[in-house]
Amino acid sequence: MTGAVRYVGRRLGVMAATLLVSSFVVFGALYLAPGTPLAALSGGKNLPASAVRVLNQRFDLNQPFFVRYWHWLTGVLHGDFGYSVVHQSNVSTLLGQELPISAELIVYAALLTVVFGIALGMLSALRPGKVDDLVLALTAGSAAMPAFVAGIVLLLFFSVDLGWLPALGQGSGFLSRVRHLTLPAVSMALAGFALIARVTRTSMREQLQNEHVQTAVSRGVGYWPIVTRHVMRNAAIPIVTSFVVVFATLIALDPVVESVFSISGVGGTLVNDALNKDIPSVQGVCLVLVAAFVVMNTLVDIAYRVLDPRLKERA
Amino acid sequence: MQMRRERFLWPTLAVGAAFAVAAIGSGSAAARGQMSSRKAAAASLQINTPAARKSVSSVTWGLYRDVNSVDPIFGFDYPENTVDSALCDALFRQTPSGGSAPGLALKVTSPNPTTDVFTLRPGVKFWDGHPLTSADVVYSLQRAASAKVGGFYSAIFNRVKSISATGKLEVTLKLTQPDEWLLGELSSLPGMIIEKSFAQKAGTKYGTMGVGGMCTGPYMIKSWTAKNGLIAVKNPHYWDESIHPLVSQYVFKGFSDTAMTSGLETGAIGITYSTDPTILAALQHSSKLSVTRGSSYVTDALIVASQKGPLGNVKVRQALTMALNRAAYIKATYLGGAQMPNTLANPGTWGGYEPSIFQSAYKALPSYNPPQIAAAKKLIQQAGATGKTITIGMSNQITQIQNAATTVEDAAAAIGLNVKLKTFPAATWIDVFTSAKARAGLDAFFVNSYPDYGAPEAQYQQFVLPGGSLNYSGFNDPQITKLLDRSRSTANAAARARLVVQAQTLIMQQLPWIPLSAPDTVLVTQKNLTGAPASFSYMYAPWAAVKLGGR
Repeated sequence: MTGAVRYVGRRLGVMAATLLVSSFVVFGALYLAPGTPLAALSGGKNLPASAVRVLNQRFDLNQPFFVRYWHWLTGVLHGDFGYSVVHQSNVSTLLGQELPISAELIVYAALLTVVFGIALGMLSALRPGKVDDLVLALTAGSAAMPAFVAGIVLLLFFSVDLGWLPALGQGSGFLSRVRHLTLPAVSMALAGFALIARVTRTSMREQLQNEHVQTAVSRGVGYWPIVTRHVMRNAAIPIVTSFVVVFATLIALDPVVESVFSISGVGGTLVNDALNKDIPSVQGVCLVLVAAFVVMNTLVDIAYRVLDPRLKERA
Repeated sequence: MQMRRERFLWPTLAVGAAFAVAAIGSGSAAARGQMSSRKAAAASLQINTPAARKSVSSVTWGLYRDVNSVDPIFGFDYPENTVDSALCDALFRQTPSGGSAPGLALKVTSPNPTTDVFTLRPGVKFWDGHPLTSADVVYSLQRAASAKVGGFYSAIFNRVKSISATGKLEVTLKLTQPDEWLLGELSSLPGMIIEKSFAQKAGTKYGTMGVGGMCTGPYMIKSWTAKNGLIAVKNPHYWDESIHPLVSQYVFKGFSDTAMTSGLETGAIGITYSTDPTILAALQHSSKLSVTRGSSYVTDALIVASQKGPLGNVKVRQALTMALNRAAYIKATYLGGAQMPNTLANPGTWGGYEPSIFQSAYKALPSYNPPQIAAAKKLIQQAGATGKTITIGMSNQITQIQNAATTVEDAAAAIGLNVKLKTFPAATWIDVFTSAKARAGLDAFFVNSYPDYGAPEAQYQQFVLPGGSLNYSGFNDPQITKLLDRSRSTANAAARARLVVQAQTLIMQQLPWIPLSAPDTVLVTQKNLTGAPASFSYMYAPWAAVKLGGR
């Protein structure tokens, strides 16, 4: 019990430290880049000096780096993520509206990756020959396709030509949301799905040749019990590990895909906000993404312990 | 003795008449004037699209990015101008052809040259049903004029001494000098009126997403979120009973280039005024879309950023101007949808007053088509600039600018100048305009600029007057400044136009900017939608929003 508490405590500490360091780095990088968020307000037109003076003061843009960072940090500790100059809105309001959409998209893409990746990987491992060759060719193709290219191709084909699925936005209501997010989720999932399928195939093949599987076969254990209990369980650890990589990729792809499909999530505006030097907005999104990543890593660590009791004993 | 002049009356009548003619399909005087000066583009250029007949429940209006404020004095770019024009009324209303008509002010009279008395329209209500009074107008104008509020338009009020209510529906402006330009500006965003009580309560948050705004325009804000954009519905209190909007709801939303293209092609986006010529090729052959080109206020030019380099010599500027192959540039970049820039103001800006004077002046200036390479080369030799290098800021990620840079490079090479290109990523391109650090070392960079209302001088004052917002090189020609200053104080329209034309002739000799083209407005709608004017008026007046509807 105390072990578990200590484990969670240590994890939370690591997460806080990661967030602090990453926020400092992002803040510093944006601070040092040339330009001002005011330029985004005017579309690049030269603003009168009086307006620049007033707005710099209003939005705290003239303060030195550490003062601004300190203001931002103490604000965050009080639950205030700051004010976005570019969107003219509180960052927490923006996050509240945009975050659920990105979360849904990433979870949808992750589900597609895992379900189809593992299914095809298993098929490929258990059916050597033509099926295996086909899966290998398919995954090679899909792994080679960058998400933004996949997105545009899918969009041209399924939305513009066939008109089956909507081209933009995120819809409202469950069914409409699923319809809107399907093409973006598929384009995000393609590369990760290939990786999961390949890893599943390789690690199942490895297990299939292991002695404990041979023993189980010789003892007359049924086909599916062997596949699920003796092969999959042991093959799961590399699959889970590769899922962490895939999940990180999904987070990284989210901005690209959101902007192709004009989805109003956190990612779609991230790139623009960074270029517009909208520090509070970028910081808010980065904090959330880094936190999501750290949480995912923690969950995976826990999953390892469940899958492999030896890890628990060692701890 | 008091001299009473009714200054606003005649352009109103003239434009009103012209507009009525345009409505029945024969083209306004201004439009006809422009037509005759166009050759290649003449057949496709127009102002009005066929009138709409059917109601439409909801139309998504595509912008290049989300709108960030509905406070008119913080509107300085396409998205805000587009949305503010549908939501708010200015004191005067720009017509589809670029003229000026009464808006919230019925008329302006001048008991003496430095006093303007505005008579407000009775019976106007804000979205919340509160009546418009002179207090709202005084508040809005004082707010726009105040340097402390931080608005973008305070400089245009620099000849205003006082703004006061002199009656329930009367506002009086006292001026330090007569100011004709101010009346033009008051038909644009700085002349838009917001509700005093609402704005006072909102404070510095007025116009932002969380608070919204309060205006008198034909559409009012229903909701505004980062997720769904700004949704506007018909204002039930709208004063102009001659207007019957057919679209019940507009969704104003920002889209990336790819999303804009696919949104238009799939019908998700109903209307957009395209600011990006590169997506045109994909759109204009679509069987589902109507692409209409109309008159515009936009000038496409090369800004001379520094007088220190070779471009500090007027002969070098003239030579470069003569040597540019604009016809090829316009064909490649705008697919033909731009005019020869005989002047640095787009012919679409003539709609405000005296178009015939501006038109004959335009015709009298050379268009250098085809380019005059031999003469230009000689000028470069005379200037002793052969073999010298000019550094030009550009972004190779923006096709239009890439094409412009190639055109300038080719011309420079042909006349014996070297060009060094300094490229910026598309996303940081705007820093060139706002940051002296980003501009450092540049002799020139590219711009698309436009004035706030239909008058060439509104364009010129930005870059030829000392302290002008786009005067990056510190250009200062006392004669040009004097002529423009006098035009600003001249009430008689024809006399004013002649002063502007004189200044324009000097400007085209001095070339503080090097003209590239005068691009058209590009209206893209679904085939089943029609009615919106294909002119630059969408930036300042509600015509596009109220005239659009089903075919």
